[in-house]
Amino acid sequence: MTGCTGDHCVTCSDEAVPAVVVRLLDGGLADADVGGGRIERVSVALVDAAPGDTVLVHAKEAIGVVT
Amino acid sequence: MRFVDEYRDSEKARALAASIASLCEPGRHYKFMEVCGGHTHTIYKHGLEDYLPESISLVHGPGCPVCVIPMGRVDDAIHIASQPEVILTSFGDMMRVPGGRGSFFDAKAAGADIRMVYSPLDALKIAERNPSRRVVFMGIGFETTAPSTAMTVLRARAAGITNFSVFCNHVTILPAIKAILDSPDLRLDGFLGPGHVSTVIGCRPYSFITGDYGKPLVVAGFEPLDLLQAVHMLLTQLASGRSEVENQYGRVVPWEGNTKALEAIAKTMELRPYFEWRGLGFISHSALRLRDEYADFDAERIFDIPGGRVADPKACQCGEVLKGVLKPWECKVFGTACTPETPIGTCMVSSEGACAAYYNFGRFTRERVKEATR
Repeated sequence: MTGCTGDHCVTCSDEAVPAVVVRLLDGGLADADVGGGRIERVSVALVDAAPGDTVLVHAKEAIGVVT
Repeated sequence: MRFVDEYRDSEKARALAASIASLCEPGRHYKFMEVCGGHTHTIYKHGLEDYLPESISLVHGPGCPVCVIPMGRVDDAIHIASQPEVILTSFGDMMRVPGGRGSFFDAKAAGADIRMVYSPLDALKIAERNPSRRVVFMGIGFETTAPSTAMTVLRARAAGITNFSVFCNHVTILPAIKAILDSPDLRLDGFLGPGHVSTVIGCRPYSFITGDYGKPLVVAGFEPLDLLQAVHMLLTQLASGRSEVENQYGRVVPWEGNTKALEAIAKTMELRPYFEWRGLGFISHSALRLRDEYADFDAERIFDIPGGRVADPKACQCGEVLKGVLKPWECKVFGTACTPETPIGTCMVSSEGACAAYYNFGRFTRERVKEATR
């Protein structure tokens, strides 16, 4: 994720960069592939996501599942 | 890339553009507002205005969270950062936003400990690692970012972290749209609804726009074909005399929104009686603050905040740009005194700001067109 100099604003996360859930972790967290194999730890507490699902991550909080 | 390449197909875009042109009534001019800064960014980055007939104008709305933060709140945040033991954490987009007495970058250069983070969770981590410091997260953004802040407050409470707080500047999009609809400056024919805000709030809350104001709204995604299809859907509604909320972005936006996210916001935050928006002035019930139950995480109650109001620089016309009354290049200082490197106004700071998007992607096209028609 980049800041104001990149394509996509972290505040808005408005370009739908898909993140694929790789593994679910304790505490509503998950490791997700945010593109190019880069793994980031994100929260999936607000969505029903399973490994392999594409989620819309916003400031490291998944707010939706892409179907 | 899945969910990206298929929405950037140029043949499909051309076919959609032709269909859009055929839907336009001869002699009629259409003004559609894209509410969200992300849409503005896509429109300029992909040159979508060149695909549309001249009778369609896209008007940029107030949906860039950085752009609508008034200068006084930046000064308040810098005041917090200057208190003993404080680490102020912020999204990168905020760092260059000018306040009355400089930006976060200026304050950092003067010695304040201000750090850029990608999420409030990162800020919480800094608090855990620095138990002797007071870590404040500058919470900004619409309903898309508020759940992340809300969840972080809940996590901080659950983990018993006491040196973390939020300077809450979260805003809500609906009162801003209503303020624009009530403004006499602008006559609009319809709205491209914000895609990711709608992921959280759903589509139902927009019904006052279609019902009370009779303007169609189509919730749209952020790829070029998403936006062209949404424009097509708006024109189809107008051609058939309808005014409804429609969802073009069904692959992400559920009609009912994300109820868990809404619950997290409702549990930790409540509406403020009023809040100042840059360019739009004070709008009632348009922003969120932490509830009394979470007062120990509320930077506004922990620190003594001056709360002063700072007028925008006279030369800056961000207000008119945010309301869609002026196009970025019509501002007196656009591209001369005000550039992304040295922004005077907020619209030039964030990549979602109309001025920055236009400066980065659109200005050369316009210069070429001017030369070709000279």
